[in-house]
Amino acid sequence: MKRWLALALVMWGCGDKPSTDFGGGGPCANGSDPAKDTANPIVAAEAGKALDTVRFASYNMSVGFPVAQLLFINMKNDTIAYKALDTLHARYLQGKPSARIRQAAQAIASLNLDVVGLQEVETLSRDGVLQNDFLAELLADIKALNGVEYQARYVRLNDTVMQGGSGAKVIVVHFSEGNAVLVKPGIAIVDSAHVKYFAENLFPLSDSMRVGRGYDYLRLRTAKGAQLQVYNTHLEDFSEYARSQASELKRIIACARLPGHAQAVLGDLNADAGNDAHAILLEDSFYDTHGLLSDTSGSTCCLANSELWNPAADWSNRRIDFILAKGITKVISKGTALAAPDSSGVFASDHRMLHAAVELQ
Amino acid sequence: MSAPRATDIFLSASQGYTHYDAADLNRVLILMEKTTAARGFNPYAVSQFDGHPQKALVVGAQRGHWSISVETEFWVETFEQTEVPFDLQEAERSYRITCDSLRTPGFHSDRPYGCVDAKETFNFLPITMQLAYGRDFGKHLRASAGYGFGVMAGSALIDLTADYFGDVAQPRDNTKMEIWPGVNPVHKLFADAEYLPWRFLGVDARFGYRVCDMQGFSIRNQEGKSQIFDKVFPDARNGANLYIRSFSQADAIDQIYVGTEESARTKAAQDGSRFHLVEGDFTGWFAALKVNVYWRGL
Repeated sequence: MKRWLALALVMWGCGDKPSTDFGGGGPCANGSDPAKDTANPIVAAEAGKALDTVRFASYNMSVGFPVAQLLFINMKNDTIAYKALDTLHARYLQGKPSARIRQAAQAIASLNLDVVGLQEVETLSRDGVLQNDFLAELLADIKALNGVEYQARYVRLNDTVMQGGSGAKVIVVHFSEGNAVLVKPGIAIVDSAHVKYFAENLFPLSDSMRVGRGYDYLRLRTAKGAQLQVYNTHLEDFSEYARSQASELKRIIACARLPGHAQAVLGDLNADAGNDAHAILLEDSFYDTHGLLSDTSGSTCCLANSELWNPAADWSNRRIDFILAKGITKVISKGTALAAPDSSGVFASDHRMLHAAVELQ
Repeated sequence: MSAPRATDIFLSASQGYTHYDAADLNRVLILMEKTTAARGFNPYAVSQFDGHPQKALVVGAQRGHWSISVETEFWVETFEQTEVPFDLQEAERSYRITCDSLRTPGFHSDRPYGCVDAKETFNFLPITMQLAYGRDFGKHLRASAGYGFGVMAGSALIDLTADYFGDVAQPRDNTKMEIWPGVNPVHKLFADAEYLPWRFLGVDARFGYRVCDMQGFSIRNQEGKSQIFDKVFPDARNGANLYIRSFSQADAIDQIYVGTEESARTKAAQDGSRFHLVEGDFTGWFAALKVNVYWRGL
């Protein structure tokens, strides 16, 4: 009798079953509710309080070393690894990295930018010899152009050493990339942090090939006393990771929100306007400084086949780089830069630079 | 039809149709198209389903007005797709490509590309014990109504083989797995109208309503390995469940997640996403035509 009763209970669905609905994150660590901020992203200027202008930019520098091609390549085979790395390194040099960095420096200087969010900030060494340090070169080039010494905050997100051999020939490539934020002198960096996202796209073949993504956080105060919290990020290519990363970022922004501070998100979201990560962040009442979703003036990506050396390469017109803001009083100007190759025929990056000047208090 | 206290044995075969919403599973089909498109597969028109042809066998006994029987429904369907191309460099494209174009010597992609052969077999097996009460109307007509209770058994089997192309491609790989819905209760209410031209044979029209909700689908008996499957579902392993994961109020950003409840809860805590366990809602009506064969007065 007991056995039959037990069977009946099992059949009725008693016993361990997975939970049907859960999640949502819950309150912030300080007890506040991250979902509750529905404030208008554009605020009215307060009388008696000084207005200031901050010129933002978001720019993916493009590593020029297409690491994704190493997916599914058997790097444990020395000869295959040598061929792959040698080919990719040749492609990297073809893109003339130092010339590209100089173009970026010229744009930053001519636009007189205050805060620049950078992605794919790379260092690359071959056979133990440093070939390029993007951030150091960029800062030096800007200083050489106009004497301005930007403050920089950099976080290395991916760092890998790859090697291969073919007969007597050996190649060792030390590649690293990350995010950086440049802040003009005169704007105080009150505090800063770098955080890696929990959601990471893991490549299956090599212990050193993990795609780390994260965001930089800076709390700034301008010369006229305007306070702002700035986030710079580069989200994963694949949307299922990017959505999770955007959700993490949205939650952090909501939980870390400080009274009297504007917020800005700069970054390559790898999502088209209105979709995925962009839509997730806009739910937190951010304002896209490049306006309506139908506005294509903020198109920044991508250069066809990332052929940086090909002056005839075309741009597709995707908007995947963004400057989002809230707590500002208005957008003064917006645009893109670095759409054309330089005189030697090299494009600065496979992304254009996105910029916007905003007014805030 | 027979002496009041005698027992009649009957055997029935039926063919009909059953309708249900299967809302979660249809949502999964839509999201699967987006998921595979994001991984470089061709876009395709999603076809939804809200029912299937129903076949059943019944064996039972009838005494007076009452009958008791065991019914087994069965629906087995196999789907096969061959030469399904993927090219991660051209993910989320609006145009279609073929495996032949990927195999051409001049083709080059910076990211993994190849072709997949897939086979899915669905077994849908509700088994119910049924009790019915009937009345005869003349010599040739009988009407009855009843209730059945049992279990919804069944599973889906997936077999996936992938070829990878390019100069330094990986070798062909294969994975097989079973999608297991667990053991779930089924309730049925039904009414029959039977015409008996002879004592030993009846033709029966049955209408009814089934209540059945499969509370989750999980992976079991996974064998082999597939790089492309791991890229699409990196957390899928034995014991993983099928979820719909939401990041915002907009359904358009939902995605499929295959992973254990523990890993899903960890992700929810990290990014605030919400998880809904995909259920198999097979509650709905059914209609069938039955042929009943009787052995009277045993």
